[in-house]
Amino acid sequence: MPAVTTKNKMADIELHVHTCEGVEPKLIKIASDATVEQLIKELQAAGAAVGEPGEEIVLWVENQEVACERGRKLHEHGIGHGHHIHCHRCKQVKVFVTHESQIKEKSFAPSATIHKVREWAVEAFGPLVREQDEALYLHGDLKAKLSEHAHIGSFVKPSHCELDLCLAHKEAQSIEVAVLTTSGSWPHEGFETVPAHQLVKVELQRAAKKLGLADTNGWVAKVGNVELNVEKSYLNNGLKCRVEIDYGPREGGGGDE
Amino acid sequence: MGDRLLGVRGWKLYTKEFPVLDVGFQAEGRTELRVRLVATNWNDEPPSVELLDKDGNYLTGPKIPQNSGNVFHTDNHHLTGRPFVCMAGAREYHTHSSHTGDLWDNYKRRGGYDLGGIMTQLWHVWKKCNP
Repeated sequence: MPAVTTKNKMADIELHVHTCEGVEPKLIKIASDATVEQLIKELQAAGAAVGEPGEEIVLWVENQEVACERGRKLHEHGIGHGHHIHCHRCKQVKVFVTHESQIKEKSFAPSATIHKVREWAVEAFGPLVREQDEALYLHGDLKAKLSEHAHIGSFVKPSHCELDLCLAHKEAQSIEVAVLTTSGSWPHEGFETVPAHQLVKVELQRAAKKLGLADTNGWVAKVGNVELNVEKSYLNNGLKCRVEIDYGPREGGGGDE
Repeated sequence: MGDRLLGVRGWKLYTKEFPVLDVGFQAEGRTELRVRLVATNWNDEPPSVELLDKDGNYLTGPKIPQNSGNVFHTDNHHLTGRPFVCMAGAREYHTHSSHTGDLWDNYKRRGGYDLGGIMTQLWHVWKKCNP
């Protein structure tokens, strides 16, 4: 007779796993004594968080800045039933938040919630920000306020571990903007939606960065034949609704000859 | 150089095949000016700038846009034998006896001195010329 062994099967737990593949977490059922490594493999088997060969996938508990160790069990990291975790290839996400004409930046783990980033941003921008009136948006998309529960890693592709956000009033008046240059247009198609009270130079700087323009010193921004004051807002430049900004060098000076 | 920019500026793109960038400047009530940048040896040397009518003929003195602030020269350049552009970024400027000390090397890494930037500078000049 073979020996009878009793195996204490651990109860399964359900985890809300966030990845770069959308804001909504996936519900994963796994044994409570599973390791982080097993969970990552489970996720990859389910087609989530699949990296390139050799790429390391990392797992974080929501709003924790230290990544989980692969060899440890889930409960050793305090991960239990119903918890939210994040699985991503970016070790850090560099977050840029624009408010009015200022930009603040800070790196977070991909598991940081929008709520956590907003709280940091409100503090970073100081007393001019009225917390109750502000929300975070993806930069250039003022139409959809980001969910406070979403993880920042869900907005970031693994090849580009940066995120541009905008802190704005929930009822902010917006304007659609495109910046056109001979090196390309930003955005490549359509328009970005930004606060109408934002200074024009913010979007020009963003376009220059996105288009790889190293030197825009002395460039002029125009709508039609009107030169914009880039140190003023769209509203103060008399702009509203939708604008295409022509951005490029000024006319060259002629020689004396 | 996308269609959006061409539309906003009223540029007609004739050729964008390296080393040539050939663009017509159009505006209501204006005679089209066609500017062809020929960028052989780019960017060791600046592009040669040719001023043309819409059919691709070289402009002669009287047809050169007026009041350009000395950018569009009606005199003939000693190397090309044609009216020329006297502006930093144009080969005819840097090879002109008056400007041989103003080296292209001092400009070529600056923003606004790639081919699109030079074309943009010339377009702004043209817009300020007499209709």
